Amino acid sequence: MRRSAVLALVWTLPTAVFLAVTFIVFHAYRIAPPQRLDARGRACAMIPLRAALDGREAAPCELPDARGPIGVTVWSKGRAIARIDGVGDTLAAALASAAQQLRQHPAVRMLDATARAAARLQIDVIGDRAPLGTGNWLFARLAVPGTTDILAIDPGLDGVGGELDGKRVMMLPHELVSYKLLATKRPSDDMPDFAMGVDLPRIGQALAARAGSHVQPTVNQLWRFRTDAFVEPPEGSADRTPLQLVRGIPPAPKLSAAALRTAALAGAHYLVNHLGPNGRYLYEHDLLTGHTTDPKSNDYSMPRHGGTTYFLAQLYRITKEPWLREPIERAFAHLVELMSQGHCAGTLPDGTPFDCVLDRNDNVAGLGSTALVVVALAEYQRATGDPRYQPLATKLAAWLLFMQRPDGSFRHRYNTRTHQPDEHAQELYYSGEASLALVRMYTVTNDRKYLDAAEKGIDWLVDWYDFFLGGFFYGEEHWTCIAAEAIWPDVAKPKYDEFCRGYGRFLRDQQLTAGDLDDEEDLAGAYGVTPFVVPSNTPVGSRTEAMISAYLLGEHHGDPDPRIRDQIIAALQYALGQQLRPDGDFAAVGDADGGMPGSPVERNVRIDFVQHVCSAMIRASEWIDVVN
Amino acid sequence: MPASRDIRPYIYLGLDVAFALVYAVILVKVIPTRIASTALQLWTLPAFTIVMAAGTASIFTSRLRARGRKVAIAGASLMLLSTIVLIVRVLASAAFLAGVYGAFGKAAATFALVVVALVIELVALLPIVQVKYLLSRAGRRAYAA
Repeated sequence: MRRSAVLALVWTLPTAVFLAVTFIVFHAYRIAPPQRLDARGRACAMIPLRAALDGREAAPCELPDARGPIGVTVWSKGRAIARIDGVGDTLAAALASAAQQLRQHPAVRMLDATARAAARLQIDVIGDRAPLGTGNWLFARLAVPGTTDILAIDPGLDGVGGELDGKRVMMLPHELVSYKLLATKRPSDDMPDFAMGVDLPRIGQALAARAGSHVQPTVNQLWRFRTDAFVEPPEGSADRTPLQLVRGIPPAPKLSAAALRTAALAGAHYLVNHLGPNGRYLYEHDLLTGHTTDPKSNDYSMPRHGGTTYFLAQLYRITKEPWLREPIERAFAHLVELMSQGHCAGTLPDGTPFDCVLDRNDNVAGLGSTALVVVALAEYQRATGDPRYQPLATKLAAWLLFMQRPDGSFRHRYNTRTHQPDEHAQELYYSGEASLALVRMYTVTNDRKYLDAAEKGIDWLVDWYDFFLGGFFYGEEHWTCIAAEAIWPDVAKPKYDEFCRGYGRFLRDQQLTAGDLDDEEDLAGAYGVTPFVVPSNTPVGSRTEAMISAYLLGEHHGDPDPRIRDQIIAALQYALGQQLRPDGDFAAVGDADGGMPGSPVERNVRIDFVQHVCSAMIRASEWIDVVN
Repeated sequence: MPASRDIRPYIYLGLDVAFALVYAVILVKVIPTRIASTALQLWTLPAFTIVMAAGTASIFTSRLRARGRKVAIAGASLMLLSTIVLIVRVLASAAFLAGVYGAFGKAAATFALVVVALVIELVALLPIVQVKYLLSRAGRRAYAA
């Protein structure tokens, strides 16, 4: 009996401990998603605050039975000019408190009537709260390092509050974004664009400053909270119902061909508005400040200029919108000017003249830059029928052919001083980009040598995966699939179709789907690895470009993959929501409509973010209604 | 098997020394940490394995065998306790993240399970098997004075 009891204890006690720890910790830190006010409740809640902003009496309206406190933000021209905490245990009391403060707020009083009418009010009804992980001494030491500090809050959904000197202060979720406190640590030097990790000490400092306290709060004085956030629609909207926000973003337009076409054209408007008179793009737009990159700056990306102009030319080919033509020509003229400063041009051993894209301060040319420019120049010719850039494209393509090995693979780097290719360097994307460039050259010249070289290039890329683990993982092969579809029907190999289906399956495993993650439903359609890292928006565009080609390739072979179609639809529905539109641009300084921010919590727009997403949108708009 | 011909104490001694060395090398070279609580916990692994080895080594001295066997059992039990704490740390972190983010995600859940499985395989298996042996009749006989 004793032996049986000991055995039972040995087997069950550790399991019981594990289950108990998991249960206790989960429930200690869990905040259930907030109860959301319905449309009528949101409209009623907004009435006293709008009246206070306009300096008039509020019309009566029956408020729902909800709890306070609330956070109120007044947005004017993209800036938060006033932040007020409405205190009270009920929503009605909190609104009354906020309205009274709003009437006396100096920044609000300085607004003229026009600015008050255009200002947009945001309400965050504060929901449940939970402690921060580092606030518990034992748990902070028990948890795996980095868990309780770097991953302490859900970016864009959690706010942080505290009791300091007897005063309750709060930083709303959108304030943590705008203070740039959510992605403060860069775990890898190899991925300089990748940042994550909340800065709790700086949040503490900001809260102390807000409370007028000179003492930095300890972490156990702080807590996380969730909010039900909503914002007034833009001035002039027929429907005045306040818009529900998730991570600061209003509901997305419903996906359709027309919605995608409108969104792609809005993206083009953004790019045209961010194209200088000299044909150079304003590379980045900081939505928090309105600051854009100096167009005279030396720090510029020629491949991204080429890629962005490629998208504009593609859009012009599909839509024939006349307002696109002049900016496209201006951007191409600048590209040619930039190339002339690069001093890469020369003659190949067989006497063929060549050129390559090279920054004027650099001595090493990358294959991908030249390939993307060839794609762009060919797209211009496809769109306009104007062959003015064909001689230049031919010289660039001569260099691409020179960089190709007999087995179809490419050298990726070329030293313009020694005139020698680097036989070892390998970069992501380049071989796929070069293959696509050669396909496009065949399209505009009908010269068979480009087709043969492109086929060899794609064969090499696809055959590289012919080993026992091939098909289980893939690199960044989206240009490969775009090239594999572009070469059809001149080359119609089933292995290209098979490869791109496999790549689609691999990407689907990384795509967040509705119902997977309770608190992250707004991220459904995006590509991410865990719930802990907010996904970037650009991969949604670039991978969808590839998946559109994969789907079309299946269609060409008579067997379109419905899973890839659904993958594309989910990704584009997500992307539509992420794009800046009049209803969601209340927190964007400057003319940024049509722009694509880096992520739901990254408030800057770069030209290539817009390029990739909008290119996917316009390509999908050509067939999505038929299959959806 | 007669005690004099039982080679298992020598095998366990070899494994204990080898595991202790491997743990130490991994902690120094592969996963060095400056976080005191984590370092303390991780260094218990080679330390308790050495305790197991020291107890097991009493097989060479008949006078110390009975006491050595108890030391080896104590070392292995502490090792198992440390393993349980390690697993608790992984599970508590996973539960925390699931609480904050609403879900843990398939990839992260798989990774956490793999970590737990590896901890059991690489850390817990040896003390479990060794304790089982030391508590068996053969083990008692081998360590009889």
